[in-house]
Amino acid sequence: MSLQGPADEIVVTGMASVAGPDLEGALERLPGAIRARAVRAERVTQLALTAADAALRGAGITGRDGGPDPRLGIVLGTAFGCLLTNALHQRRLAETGPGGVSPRTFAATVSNAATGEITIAYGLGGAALTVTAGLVSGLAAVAEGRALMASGGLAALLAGGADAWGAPLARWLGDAGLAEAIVPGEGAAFVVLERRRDAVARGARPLACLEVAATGFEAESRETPRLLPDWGGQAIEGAPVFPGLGERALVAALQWLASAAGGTRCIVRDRCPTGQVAAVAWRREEAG
Amino acid sequence: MVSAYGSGGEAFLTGLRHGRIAVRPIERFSAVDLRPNMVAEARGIAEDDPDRAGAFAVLAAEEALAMAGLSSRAQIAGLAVALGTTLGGMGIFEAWDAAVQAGEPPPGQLSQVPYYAPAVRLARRFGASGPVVAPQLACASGTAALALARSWIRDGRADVVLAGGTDLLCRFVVAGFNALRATATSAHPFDRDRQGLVLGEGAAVLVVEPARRVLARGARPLARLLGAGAAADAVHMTAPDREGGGAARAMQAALEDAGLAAQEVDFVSAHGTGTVYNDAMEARAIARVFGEGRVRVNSIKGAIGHTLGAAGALEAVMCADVVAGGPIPPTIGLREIDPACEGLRLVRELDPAPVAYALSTSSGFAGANAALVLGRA
Repeated sequence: MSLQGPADEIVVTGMASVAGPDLEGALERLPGAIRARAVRAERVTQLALTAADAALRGAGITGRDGGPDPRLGIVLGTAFGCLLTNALHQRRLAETGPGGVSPRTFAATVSNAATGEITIAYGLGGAALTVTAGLVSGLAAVAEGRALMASGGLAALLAGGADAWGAPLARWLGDAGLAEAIVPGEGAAFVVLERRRDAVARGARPLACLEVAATGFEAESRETPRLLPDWGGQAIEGAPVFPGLGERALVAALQWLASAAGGTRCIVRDRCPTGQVAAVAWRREEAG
Repeated sequence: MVSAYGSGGEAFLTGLRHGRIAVRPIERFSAVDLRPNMVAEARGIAEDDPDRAGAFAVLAAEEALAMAGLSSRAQIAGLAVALGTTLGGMGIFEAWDAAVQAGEPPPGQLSQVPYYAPAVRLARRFGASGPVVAPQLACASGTAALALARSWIRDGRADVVLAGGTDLLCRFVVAGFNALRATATSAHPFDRDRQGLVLGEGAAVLVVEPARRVLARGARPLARLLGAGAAADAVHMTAPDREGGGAARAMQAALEDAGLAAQEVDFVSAHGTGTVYNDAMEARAIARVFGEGRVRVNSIKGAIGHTLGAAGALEAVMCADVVAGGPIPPTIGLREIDPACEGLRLVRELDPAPVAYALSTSSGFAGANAALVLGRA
């Protein structure tokens, strides 16, 4: 396989998404040991694990074989992380007192619980970050993942987003005045990022190039997020633009990349009602 | 910054140098059913603010910007915010849940989601236009925030970054750590009879910017942020890798990023929580990276408690002071060193010997590890 672009370009070699209604089936497809961990985990972790598994398998990265691999990393973005678990812990504390609190539940009240489960399941021993940037968390994770890959040290990195929906979250968003800004839904999406030369060297096929990724903040609401200052001279003319929320924006990009739709480039961009903005530009690889 | 010593960096450094233990029984909220109930509270600070962790961060950021000589919005154009927290939003969450259960109107300041409320508060207060992210690496979050800041500055994604961490104490947090049996009435990092950690609260925010910018306005850099690294244990959700594999990889990655050999580092600020497994793991990791008994090591958690997502940022402030010529504060609470930690050269008295390079390491739930290297400016 020959290089079809600069050797240091960051390319996508695996991608997958799992929507909430498809979770049960996706859990069934997990390898046995990982499925056993997943069924005990909270819902956001289940979504993240199933999407991560499919993305890694698509990239031909099969998981741990021995100790943790320091060349494999992850950046996971989540807006509401473990809010459902936080609610469960808080309810038990309020209703039964400290004696009724579950240590296992409390351990999953941190937003990096899903990331931790994925690192354990697949032996990702390199950088493992969880980032929260409101409803653009998934795109922000891709931006930070791209930066980590570009800085060297990692051979491959999972980047994506995950969020779970439930009654406590719906209630919170309603009380916070954010309900109208958010269409209820849940899911997870991941891409596997590698440098082009590394992907080609191991015989993996780049599916897309991650051309530009940027994040920023706009305190005042705008209907469409502006292109960001560090978009630089790489403005992409004529590319379709997919606005969306969190991992949904990522899902839209992945669906476009996997489709036979016209054009070779797309941009995904979004703004959270609380001000965070993000944009990611992708270029589809030509088949063969 | 904000700590159990009060508001301000001077109070923090003075308290550490004097070895003052700020651990007391919980006063701020009902604790009659919480055992242990000994913590390091930041008393009298932002007591009535519903987003107390955010208020801590604002106080810390105001102090940091003033120290940096950045007083106008024009001077901080291109500002970004990386503010880590473990459970800093849970104060808001508790108040909301109580209102819901009581059928009362929700509290007024629910316009944010708990996990990133403090970061967005800083962004709005100081007019950010660059990235605004809350890194969530549990108790390594503050360290990860500074790592993000270094990345953004290096890649030209921001001109100046407010980076650090904030966390607060509430029933949600204390009951949870007690359930894990991770807590004790006093913390004794690396001691043979250590029983667990003591929780604390506070915030630290550092201004990170390119050196040329600082020099151009005639200001003096306090320290150089030379390298950062992160790594996962990939072993267990709540217990650390007994061999310290992830912590060692994070420290090595930070050294490589800084372009330094381990032998060049003079001082390591350990995570040093005072739990049996963390301290033993860290002792192995530090000895593996730096060699046995060579580098000076301390932990400040016996004095101000474990401030969770803020801890790495508070410790970075201490490291910045140390490389700027300040003495290394002693490891408060250490009485008799655990044989499992004998490979460490622990600082037990105020140590004035100069330090050119310091490394700060942090670890957290879910096998998160992060490290920073700071150097003399």
